[in-house]
Amino acid sequence: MKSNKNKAQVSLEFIVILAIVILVFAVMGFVIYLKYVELSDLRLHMTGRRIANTLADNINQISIVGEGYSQFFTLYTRYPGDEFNITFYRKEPTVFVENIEKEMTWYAPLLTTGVYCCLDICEMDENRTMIHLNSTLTTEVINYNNTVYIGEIC
Amino acid sequence: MSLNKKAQAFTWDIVFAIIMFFIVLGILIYLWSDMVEKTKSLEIEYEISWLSTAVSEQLVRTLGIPYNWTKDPEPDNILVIGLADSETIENSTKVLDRILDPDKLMHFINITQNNYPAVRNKLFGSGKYDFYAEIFCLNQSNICCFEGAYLDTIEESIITCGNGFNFSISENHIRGIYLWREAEGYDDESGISVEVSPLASEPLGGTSNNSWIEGLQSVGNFVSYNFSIPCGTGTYSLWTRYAKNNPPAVGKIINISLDNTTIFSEPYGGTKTGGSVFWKWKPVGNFTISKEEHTLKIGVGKGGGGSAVFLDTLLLTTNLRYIPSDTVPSCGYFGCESQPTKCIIGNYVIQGNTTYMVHDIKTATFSEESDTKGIEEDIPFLKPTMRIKFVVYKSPTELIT
Repeated sequence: MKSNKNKAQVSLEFIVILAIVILVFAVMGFVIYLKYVELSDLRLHMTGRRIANTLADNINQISIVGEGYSQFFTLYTRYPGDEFNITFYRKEPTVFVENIEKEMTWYAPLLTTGVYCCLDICEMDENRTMIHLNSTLTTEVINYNNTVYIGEIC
Repeated sequence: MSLNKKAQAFTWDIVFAIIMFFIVLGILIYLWSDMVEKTKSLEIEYEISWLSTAVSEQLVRTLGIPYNWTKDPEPDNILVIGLADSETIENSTKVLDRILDPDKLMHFINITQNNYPAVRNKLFGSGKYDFYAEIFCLNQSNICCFEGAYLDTIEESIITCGNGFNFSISENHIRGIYLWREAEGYDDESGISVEVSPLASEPLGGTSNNSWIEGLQSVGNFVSYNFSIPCGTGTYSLWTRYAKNNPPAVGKIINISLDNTTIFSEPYGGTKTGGSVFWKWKPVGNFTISKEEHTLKIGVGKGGGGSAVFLDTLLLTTNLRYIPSDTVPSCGYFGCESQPTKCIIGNYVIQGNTTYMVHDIKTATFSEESDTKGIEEDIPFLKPTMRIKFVVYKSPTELIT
């Protein structure tokens, strides 16, 4: 008959091995978590950068070619939870794109300060035009009276 | 069975397995991190590339805001910097695509040199990246594309680029051609000898290229130079830097001919003042010269007297109001063969000293009003194309985070 002492020895070994395995997986999980966060931020950065550049590209092109021109473009937000506030200030020829959750901001230089938007997702006052973007948006940018309108003339 | 045998589970088997696990994990993490870093690098390159294209397009295709920003060219008063010119048709303003306003270009160079951070922030919207721009003619061996451009807002000035290139503006025109010729670099001569300056105590004032010619003493002695001018037909002013070991009242007649036609025949007075002989610039006159090969001959004529005329340098310039300084000729400033043929502005950095660097080149020309006003309406200077190379880079001290 085996003694109780023997059983206790097996249990201790098991606990130690289990502890090591848990430790290893904890380290691995932590590293993977850090990398996942880094990748998520990078993906968000790329999305925000492309939104800013796409807007600036289209607004600048339409400003350069002159009155009466318009063109369509698409702002992609591929993942749920990607919400952006896009702001055009009247006294600053720059488009600012801000992710509310992560508090990250991107910007791109514009060639005009007169950008207006009358879509449902837009807010305007005398100092700025703001677009709240939470899903992919395909819309039009129009140069009318040397003012750039997003979506429709208003 | 002994207790020690059960403890064998902790021996090398498990140690080896854990080490292997960590090695594989480490390799995976390294590859992952490397891929993320490369993606970040590509993102920075994309952003810089986008900026260089967008801003260079902005410069050559827009008027700027306000459209007449050259009237108050302070960075604080300019919303958007654009260099394009415009024309008014039936009360509407049309942007002249890739046709630049010389005024805007000169003011852009000026404010970039004087207040680089403000201009950079204006162009990029932030100070995250740096830039420099190279402005040069399509034919990079000369600066003809700038010559004769008319400026509304600058009458007399010298606009200096970061690399020492100068746009000299005279009577509202860019007059930037300075052809420098060492007197001792003649093509033909009679009775002429070359003197090297370290061997002589006089004349005073320093010599260009450390040497000059002597021997313009007797009638019939001469020296001649073959030369061609780089741009189209234009009016050039000729200057000679000379010395003569006599008081000012004692002159020697010097004949100067261009392609066998006498264009000057006047005395060169002595340059001895207070017991010492000095170098002095003498204006010969203004001549309209075509682009072909020419011969300039300088000889001693009948009349006058005193000692020989020494010649140090000849200067041909389109800047008719330019007066050379009597001090030591500065080869790095005007006309020397080493004069740069491109204007570099902004925060110049040598390629290779920074990790991320992207450039975009835009082609443009000046507006038609160039050289149609002012002092030389009839001069058909060529209007070749110029280029702007706009380089954006990330400072090496601010690498990716």
